[in-house]
Amino acid sequence: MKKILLIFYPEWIKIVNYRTFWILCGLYAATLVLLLFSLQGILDNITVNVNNKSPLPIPSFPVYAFPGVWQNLTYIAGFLKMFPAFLVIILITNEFTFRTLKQQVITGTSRLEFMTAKITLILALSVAVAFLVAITGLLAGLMQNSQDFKLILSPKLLFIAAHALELMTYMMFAAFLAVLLKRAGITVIVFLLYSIILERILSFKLPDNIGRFLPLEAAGNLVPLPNSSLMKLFGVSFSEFTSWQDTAICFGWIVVFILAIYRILLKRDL
Amino acid sequence: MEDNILKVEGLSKNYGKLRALSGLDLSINKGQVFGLLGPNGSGKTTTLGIILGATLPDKGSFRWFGQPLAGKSLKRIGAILEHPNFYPYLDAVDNLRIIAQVRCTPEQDIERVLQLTGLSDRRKHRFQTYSFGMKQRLAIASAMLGNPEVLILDEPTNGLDPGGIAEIRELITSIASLGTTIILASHLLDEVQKVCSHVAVLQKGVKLFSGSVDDVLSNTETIVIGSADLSKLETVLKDYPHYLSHTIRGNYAELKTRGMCNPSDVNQFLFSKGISCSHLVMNKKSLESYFLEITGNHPGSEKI
Repeated sequence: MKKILLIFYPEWIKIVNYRTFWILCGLYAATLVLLLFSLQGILDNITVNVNNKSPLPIPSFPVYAFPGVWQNLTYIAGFLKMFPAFLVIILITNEFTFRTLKQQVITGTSRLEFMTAKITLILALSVAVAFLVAITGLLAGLMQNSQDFKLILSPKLLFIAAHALELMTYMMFAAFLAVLLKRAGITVIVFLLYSIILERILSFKLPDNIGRFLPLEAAGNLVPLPNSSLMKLFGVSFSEFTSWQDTAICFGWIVVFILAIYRILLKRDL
Repeated sequence: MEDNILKVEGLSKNYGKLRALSGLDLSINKGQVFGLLGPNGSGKTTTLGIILGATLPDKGSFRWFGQPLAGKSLKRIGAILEHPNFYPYLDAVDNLRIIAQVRCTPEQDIERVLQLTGLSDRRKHRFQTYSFGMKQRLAIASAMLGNPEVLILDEPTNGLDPGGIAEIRELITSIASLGTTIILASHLLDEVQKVCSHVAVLQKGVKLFSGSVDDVLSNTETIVIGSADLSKLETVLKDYPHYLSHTIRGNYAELKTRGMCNPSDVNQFLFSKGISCSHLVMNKKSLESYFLEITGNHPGSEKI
């Protein structure tokens, strides 16, 4: 543990005075919190609008009700999961564009130590974001009246951990691309092309039982779409829990990305 | 062999079809100031990149302190390689803190190296605001952090003004006098001549020569002679007992002798043969002309 902290200390010096990083972090955190807090208002608005035309009255959906809040918020937070991946791309490609990775290696940092530091950074980022979602959920839930607060601690709290894993899978994929491509611009473009277009085409073409093995697909499946009152009305029901298969697939990909990053670092001139 | 710091054997490296280094052998002992000399693109930086673990060799091996490369030996070596590489948004102190952390050097040492390189006034300014010369100084400061046993400097005076160049050379000489082994890559012969005790000359990835700088210089003395009748001078010179070779440069003959040059002896000999000299100068050749000679770019070759 002490060794990890020692390896992480230079990473801390690198980010603590890095204004770009903190501005992006601030924007991301603000957007995330704002989105989560305004969720109820948006949904109520939609319900009212739809109710005007609907023959059946659609009941309103209490987004922040414990324990459903954990699934609702982590699902919505998932829409912003690209953001921390971009942060990782910037922090890793910086080491190549500034040639500071080379400098650190000739100073005595091993490639393994460099990689460990970056993985620690990814871990810290995903835990921090998941924690922010949890705090937001707790506050939003507490502010909504007539709640059963005994339901705060429920197995659904595991969705917070699932969201952290979802972010980690995304960020490890981004880290892999960043180490492979070395330049921020091209990494961001390839990352977007793959995540928005390519993987969707693949998962559309492949049968479901194979498509679910794709890394971003598996990450997205960790927090399933919550069952809203509308869906209950139609009798549709989604999973209420994170499946262990999706969890295993994500961990599998994380290991694959780490091994690939290590191999690239070992086999390439810096 | 306990004094051996670095042993390089048969190092080769290709970049695609370009042969950057082929079969390089080097041996560097403790306390040497070793110059790696060669024109641009001769493989100096590739060599340094390989022995520092940043570049992977195709063939060959090297041992630091008798051991294969590991983080442990790298922490005993301070190095600058090509450009100064730092985080542009961090100030000098923060950039050095990262290096100090990796090298397990106490952070108090940062002030010392900043003072040595004359950067104390700008210590709290971001790296991106530095001039190239200051960036180079920061690189040298980072290499000296923690007083490493070996200092590797790749073109250390690149981008410095004349004052800065003199300062850095003085600094290198004073560090060397403390017993630190220094490996200095440079295309400036004058620099190697002034600073180094040993030298290896590289061209197109091949080692042309290696030895002590004194060895190189001992065989480079000539006597430049001027006389009214140049053709007579030429014929007479060949009879000089210690004659080795001569070349004609303009109105002068440049004589190379076996053993030490002795101008008064030459003068006496010529006078006895009825030639009076209008010009007689002993010329200690610089490493530069020797270098150009062995790399095949003799400056006077077209005149012969």
